[in-house]
Amino acid sequence: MDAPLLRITDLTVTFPVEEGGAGAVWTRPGTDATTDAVPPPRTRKTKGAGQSPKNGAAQRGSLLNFRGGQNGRFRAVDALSLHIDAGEALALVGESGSGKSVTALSILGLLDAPGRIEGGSIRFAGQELTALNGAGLRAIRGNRIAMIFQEPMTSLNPALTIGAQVAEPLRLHRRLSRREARGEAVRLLTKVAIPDAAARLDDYPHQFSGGMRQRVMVAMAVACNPALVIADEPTTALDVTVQAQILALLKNLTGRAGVEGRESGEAAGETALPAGGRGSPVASPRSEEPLLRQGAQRRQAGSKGADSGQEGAALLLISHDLGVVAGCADRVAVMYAGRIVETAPAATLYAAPRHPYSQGLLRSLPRQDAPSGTRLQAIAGQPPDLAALPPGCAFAPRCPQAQAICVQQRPKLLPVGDRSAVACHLYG
Amino acid sequence: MSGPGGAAALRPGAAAVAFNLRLLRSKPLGAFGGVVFLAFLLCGAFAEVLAPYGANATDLALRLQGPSAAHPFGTDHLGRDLLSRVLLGAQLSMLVGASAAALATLISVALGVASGYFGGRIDMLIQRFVDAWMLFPDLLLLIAVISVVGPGMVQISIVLGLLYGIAGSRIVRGAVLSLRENMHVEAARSLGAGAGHIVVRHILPNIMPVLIVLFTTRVGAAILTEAGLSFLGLGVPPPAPTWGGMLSGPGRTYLYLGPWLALAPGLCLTLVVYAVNVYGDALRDLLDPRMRGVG
Repeated sequence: MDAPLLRITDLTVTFPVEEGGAGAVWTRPGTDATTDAVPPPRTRKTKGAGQSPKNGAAQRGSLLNFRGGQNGRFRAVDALSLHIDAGEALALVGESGSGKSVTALSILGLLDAPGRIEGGSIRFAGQELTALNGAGLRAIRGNRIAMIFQEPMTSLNPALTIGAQVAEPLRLHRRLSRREARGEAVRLLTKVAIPDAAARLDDYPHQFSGGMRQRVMVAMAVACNPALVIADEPTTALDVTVQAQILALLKNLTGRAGVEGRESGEAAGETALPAGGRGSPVASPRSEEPLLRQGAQRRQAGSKGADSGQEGAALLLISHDLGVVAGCADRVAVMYAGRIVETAPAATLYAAPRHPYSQGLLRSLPRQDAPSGTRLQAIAGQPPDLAALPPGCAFAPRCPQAQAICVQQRPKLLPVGDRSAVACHLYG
Repeated sequence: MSGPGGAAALRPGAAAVAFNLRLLRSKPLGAFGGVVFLAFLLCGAFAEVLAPYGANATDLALRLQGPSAAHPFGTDHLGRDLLSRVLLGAQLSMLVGASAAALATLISVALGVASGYFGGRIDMLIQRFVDAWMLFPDLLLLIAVISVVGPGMVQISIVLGLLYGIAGSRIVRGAVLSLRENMHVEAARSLGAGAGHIVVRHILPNIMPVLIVLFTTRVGAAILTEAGLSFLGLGVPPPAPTWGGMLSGPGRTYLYLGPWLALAPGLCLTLVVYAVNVYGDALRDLLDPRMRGVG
């Protein structure tokens, strides 16, 4: 196997820790983060830091009371390494504030001040992304790497029509004319199972439901046949039935399923249909036809070999929900406190999680096969204060299997078995 | 954010009609203001055609005549037809009002977007400049400039445009600042859009309601200020038929002999400024949900 599509090596991203300021509200007099058993309430949203100064402020607030930190900065992402092969679906899993979103934003160079990439390398298709200037990054964003955000309700411009927005990446990167882009927009919207796409091109986002808006976001993301799609909690803001449809759609349009499992891909598309037609009962019979066309198009694209090669786009799926990830990902990387603690093929991780944190996460999920009345097991304790991490394993204070070495020495992420690695002294 | 008002205001054709119907239904006073303002605009635009006499056609035999069939608004102390002068005065007022407001809006957008979108040092520089500028009282600055370059419509429009534009940039900046945090701007960045593209496609269309309101209120303010300057003798110099000049010159001198001399321009001025203000308020209420119930 040649070099992976994306390889992140030792990526470190820091944010400033500010004492006082906006976060002073949460500072209780006499508290000390390093000894306090109950850290200040965490206000950070799952959306992650660095997406906007507003979130940055919230994050700074939640990470007060720091003791250590370097130059008054803490590491939101700490020497993170991961890779994604072409066409692979990798899930990045972790709780709020573990650095998932910051990693995603770093890849696209969208990290806003005060966040800063301190070191490490992000190589994408032979290009070092951290070394690119603004124009270089813009040529990649939306074109080779596309991103889908968490909140479909606000991710679309309320003042522009759906058609204009779907066409935007094509107009930006392919320099298509208005007319060509319009035709392409119809094709894309049909691809994401928007019923009667041509008629809805001139609608505005407020006329679309949340699920449909997220479909539009997906259509925009795949518009330019990107090699990598980053989906940052794409289903968090959606209700459960719609979640399943969006995930099926993502799976359908990206990853290996996009090439190998053509049948299964179409099946996924079919399950996605009812929601699209929900608003208008007339639309359902009509929307079968575009699906057929979509299948034909894919076969065509496959035989011609689109510019991204035989593989579909790789998918980096960010989520805090292991259930969401289960059906979609080929491989899962579990993050904790800015570091990857375990990575393994999805099946392996679910069947036999190695890291105590992964084990804890899986135990905290409700299971259908568990006898009724079984209580969910939560992981004891609180996520650590990133600005006051213990010298050893960040999970050690909450780990039921912690040993003496765990609090002294930080475990390295070491390979164990096939395509797996774990950062835990139990496996050293 | 996706209020139906915001979207409707930006869609041409049928939606514009629907919007005006909504304005009429929910804000009849505002709609009335809009109609009056439109009427004055049309009067100004076609003043030459509508005016029965020339603005400065004197007929000393017919001076200080009360309203009559031949001279509906009467004549002034030089026998000039007052209706013609008021109509041509409307043209002048509208020209000053519209050009000053247009310039002001342009300046507000340029400064406000630069300040709000790019932030950081640019924001700091621009805002300190705006602070310093706003220290000077408007009228004082106007008088200073006009006493240097001399009175005239062009310079009044430019100075008013600068004054209102720089002050209004604060409002645009605020709107841009809050908009910049919207996810759709972040999403546009993730699509590879540059700053110019984001400003034109994703910022400006969304601050349109703010700009429309800013524009209409500035039209009224500019008309009033121009009249005030003309009243003080600093406006467009006579014999140009300015409303302010008519009020202060013959209007005051012959207040007892010919009260219509002051009434006609005075009422017009009051009416148009009132109309444009209630219209602007109605637009603001309809277009900007955040401002609802304020003021």
